[in-house]
Amino acid sequence: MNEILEDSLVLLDPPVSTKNELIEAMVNALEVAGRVSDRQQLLKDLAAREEIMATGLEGGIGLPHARSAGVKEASIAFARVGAGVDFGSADGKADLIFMIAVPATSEADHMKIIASLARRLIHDSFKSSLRMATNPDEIVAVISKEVFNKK
Amino acid sequence: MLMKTATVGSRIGLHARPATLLAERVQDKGVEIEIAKVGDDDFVDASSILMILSLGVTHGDTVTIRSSDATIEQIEEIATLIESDLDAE
Repeated sequence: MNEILEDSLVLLDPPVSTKNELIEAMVNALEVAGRVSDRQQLLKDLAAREEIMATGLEGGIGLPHARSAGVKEASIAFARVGAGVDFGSADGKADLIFMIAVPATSEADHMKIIASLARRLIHDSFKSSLRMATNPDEIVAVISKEVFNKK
Repeated sequence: MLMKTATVGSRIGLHARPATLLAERVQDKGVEIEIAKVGDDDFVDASSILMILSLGVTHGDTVTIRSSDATIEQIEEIATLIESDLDAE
């Protein structure tokens, strides 16, 4: 099994200006990495989730996520967008976006990933490490270490 | 300090829409309310969606609600909210 996150799933300032463009770019990255079996299904499931309630959180965070039959293995894609993208949070745009995509069968995994991530996102030091990182390698290292306790 | 427990009624747990609705209701009250998963006793601010998500509470888990400045009615209202199926609303 692959790691949940890898360099190719980290997008630094991708050329996007809307939430939908960003979500599509992140799904593309997951697809290129061989983690998606049905791109349309995943996009549909992500959109359905955003429709219920936007996934923006306080402090510049966007958390699009879905359990989807279009996903082969539990994955996180990350994007940093300096200009910010509107994820519907009352306190402004999101500049740190985590996409959590898990297979339809793994509800428990899904919850565990979101809870672990939320526990780190409470801390400003985690967010500032992600904002200051200069390449995907550093981002993967920060998230693996802080969220999944891996070196 | 007032305390009350509640069993989570939302099918998906305190997550997504249920977490958001809970945080909004607590914010509306203008009082400090904290919640923790029973057993963990790691209390967090219930007006923050992020804090609620960090608890990783699933359907059927029991949480403790506590506050030093809310009224018993306010705490009971929050407990009722947690026990209802917020996803179905």
